[in-house]
Amino acid sequence: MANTTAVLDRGKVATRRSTSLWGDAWRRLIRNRLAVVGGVVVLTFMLLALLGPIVAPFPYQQQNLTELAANDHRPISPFTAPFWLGTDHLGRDLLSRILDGAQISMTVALVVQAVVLIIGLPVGAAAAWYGGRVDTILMRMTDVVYAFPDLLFIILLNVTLRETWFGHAMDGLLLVFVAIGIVAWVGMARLVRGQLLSLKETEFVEAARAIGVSDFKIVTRHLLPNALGPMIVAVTLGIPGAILAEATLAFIGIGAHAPRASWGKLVADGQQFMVSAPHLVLIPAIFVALALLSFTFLGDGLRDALDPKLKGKQ
Amino acid sequence: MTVTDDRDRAPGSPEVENLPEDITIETEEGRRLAAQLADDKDRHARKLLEVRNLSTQFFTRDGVVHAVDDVSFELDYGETLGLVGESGCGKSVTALSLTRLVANPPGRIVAGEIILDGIDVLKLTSEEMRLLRGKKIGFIFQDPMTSLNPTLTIGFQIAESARQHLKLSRKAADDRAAELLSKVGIPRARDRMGDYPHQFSGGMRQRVMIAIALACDPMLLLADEPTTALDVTIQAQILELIRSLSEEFGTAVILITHDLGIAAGMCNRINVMYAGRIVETGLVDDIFENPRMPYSWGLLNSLPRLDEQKNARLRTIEGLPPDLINPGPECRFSPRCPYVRDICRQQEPDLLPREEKGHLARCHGTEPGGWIQ
Amino acid sequence: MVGYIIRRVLWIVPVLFVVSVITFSLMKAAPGGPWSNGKPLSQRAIAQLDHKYGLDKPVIDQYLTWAGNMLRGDMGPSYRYPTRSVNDIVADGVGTTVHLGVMAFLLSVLVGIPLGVVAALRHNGIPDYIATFVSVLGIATPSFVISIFLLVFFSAGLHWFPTHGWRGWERPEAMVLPTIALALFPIAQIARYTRASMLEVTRKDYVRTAHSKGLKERSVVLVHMIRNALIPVVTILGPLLAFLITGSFIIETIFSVPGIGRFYVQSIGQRDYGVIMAMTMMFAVVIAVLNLVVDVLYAYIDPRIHYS
Repeated sequence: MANTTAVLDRGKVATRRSTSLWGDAWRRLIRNRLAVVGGVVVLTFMLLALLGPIVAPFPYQQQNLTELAANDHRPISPFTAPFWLGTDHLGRDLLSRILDGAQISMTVALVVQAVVLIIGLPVGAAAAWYGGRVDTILMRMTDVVYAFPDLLFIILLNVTLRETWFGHAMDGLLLVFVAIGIVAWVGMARLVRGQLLSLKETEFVEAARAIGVSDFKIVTRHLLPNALGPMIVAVTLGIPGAILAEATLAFIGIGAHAPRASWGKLVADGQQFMVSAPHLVLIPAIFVALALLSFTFLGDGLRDALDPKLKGKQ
Repeated sequence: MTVTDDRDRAPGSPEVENLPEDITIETEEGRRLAAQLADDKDRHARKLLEVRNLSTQFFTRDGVVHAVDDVSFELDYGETLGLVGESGCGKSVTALSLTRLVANPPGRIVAGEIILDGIDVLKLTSEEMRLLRGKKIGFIFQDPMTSLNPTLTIGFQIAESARQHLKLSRKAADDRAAELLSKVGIPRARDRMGDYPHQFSGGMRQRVMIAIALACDPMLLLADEPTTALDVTIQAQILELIRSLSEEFGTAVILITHDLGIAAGMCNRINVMYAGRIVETGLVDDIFENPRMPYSWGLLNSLPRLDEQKNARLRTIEGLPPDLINPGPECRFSPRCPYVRDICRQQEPDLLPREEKGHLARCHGTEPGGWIQ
Repeated sequence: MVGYIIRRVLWIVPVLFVVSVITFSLMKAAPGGPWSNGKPLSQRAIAQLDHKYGLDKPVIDQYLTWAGNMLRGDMGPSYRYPTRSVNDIVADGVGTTVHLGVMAFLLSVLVGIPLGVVAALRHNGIPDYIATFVSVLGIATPSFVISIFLLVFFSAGLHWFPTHGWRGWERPEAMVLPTIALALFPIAQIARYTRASMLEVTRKDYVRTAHSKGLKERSVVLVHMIRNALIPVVTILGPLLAFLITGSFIIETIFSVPGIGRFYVQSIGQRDYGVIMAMTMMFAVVIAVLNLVVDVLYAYIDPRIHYS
């Protein structure tokens, strides 16, 4: 276009203060009310999980039989001291059990995403960087994992391996975490691959190569930091998926060995007292829902904050 | 098919019953418009279009953007008018305002009058506006790649308009669409009716857009940068097509462009816009030979010329257009004007007549007794 | 298109082969074998059982036998129910499961799409808030939690619907809660995607073109917007169909619906490896086929897509 006026783009003279990418993202995030609420709830749950055993009024497995007997051997209703959330049919304090369950759910959140990153990141990066056969193998692998319904694979893995030492580790939880992670890493690998492939073609990478920066350094110093935003979003939004998967598994009887119970297991156990003691199912269900909601809101907020282009798409 | 019913439709096609009878008329202006559409007269007023003190604003988080600010102009039947200015000067918003297609929110026409063929457009209900859109005003948009619906056939998209306004049966509308398609220079028009937009090149799609805009033989064609998105070689073809068809149909055209060269070749008159205002208006020759506003000089000067030395630098207008949020009382071009004086910074000049008939400019410096000659 | 479908079908074969190998290896890796769960058996009894079910042969032979049987449609025996084969079990329950799944799918499409469309057209209006609420509810609440809430309120509390006793159309009131419970998540997802996609389409240039023709608002929406807006929605139908299948495990268990999902969950508890393995393969096939159908549907509604 020969006409120079076209160069003068529409709109405003640059008067806004310029800030760093992350500073901008942070301000966009804290302006998003739902995301802030989600973040606060997430932090609270994390804290509860950490301090759970300390602040819990009772050991989670302790059966308070005298009190139970005083209550005609029926689960004690909530909102009375000292059992603020009531007890189950064995006289175990529900609040203490929920605090212990928080530990499981939050560990799921972290361990699964750690597995996802540990496998997905290097595999995706290798596929993008080396291309060719490495890339083909990865893509075929992800095709298979995609074709296999997640939950089926997780169930299968758990059913078959739960009697091994691996299945017994961490009260049976390690197997659950790893199984969920094994299914979920594929998404991360694809994401990293896609991000890096588009970044690989950019000029700053060309420039880095031209001055002889090593492959490893280009990937770690130039490519990954630029792909960080979408990865953070994917990790955050992957967490509710993992919590949901764990809760579902627990519900159908796979996961932590009794007497430990995740929130999903508490819901499943409470189901039989649905009519006589609805608090046993409703209260843990509310915690599950809260955890899922707050991670989802936080993740949506992060996505809007880190990628303004996507704003409004949800 | 020998018998055609007004409402027959092919199986599988979405139901369309947009016959104008469906439109409920509520206002007096709407009744006059409906009566106009029913009679055979082709002129109902002195001028085809009179725009008076039109202001369109966008209500954004950062403030109110005065995109079109107190704009007035006229257009004769069959005339071609150029609306020229750089990006963001309000020329597209002016055109969208004429058909009331400004996205609301955030945009809104806040003041002014638009009299089209004797009808006060701003008094119509949005329902009544539909009688006007497509029928009296055809619109060609800038980007033919995105302005056609990717999931509907070309033939459907052209015929749709004709069925809406001309009460044609499906078959008659298809015939008309095919005729239009060959008129805009698509070879084997009949066969291509069933094609989808992605099967057409950019230039071909713009031809389709022209066919859509002309489907109901409108009195006014709004062409919003119709060639900006196209290859240079295609640009001339499309412009020539718009010119010859508007002559053949007797359609008035408002051509929006940032390219004075294009406007010079196509138009009878030119409005130069800057920062939401018309800053100069006149016949093409007057503007080219005797521009009376430094901004117009800038636009003219930045046209590359063939008689220049090869390595001469392209001339530019220094600086950027002003912020249209809370414009001050000064001449809006004053920060970039090489001839600026104190008065320009204190008071915005009015759009006042110059020597030639119909030539007006908004500049203190070129007013009689001014310092720029 | 035909070539594409054929190639896709052929691609399913290696995928299923890998899936079957993984499934089979995991089964063999499981310690103890199928007999270690019930009452302790003598060495001889175990050997006899192993022999009867071919478990004493080399692993490769076992795989080939199993895979060959699967290919012939024989899904093998159930180790828990010596008198019934997996085929019998599937034949008993598959009708019910498909019935529940189809109803939930129809419900989610018929509610989710209009909800998303209306929410986008009345952006920030009351329908939008309703749609957002349903989406949040559906996405943030696992189906077993939804089921239990429904049971607590509508069965235990209001006595509107029975807690169990699915008998198909013979007892329609027993179908209400399971169908809603299974459909809620898909409704939420479809509504969310439809809404986002409609909002995006609203801003498209071709919608402005449609308005510039003077078309009725309703035909702009119906003719020009919805079809375009549904293109991205179709992409999530595949995962949603997979969800309906796996989700039915939970729903069937909670509401005692006599489908194959419930049986699958029971088999997990009983370590009925034959059933788990066979059904996993069957579900993998079903999901692969459904994904293929969705992709073909995708090309049908988006003329720009040409598989070749």
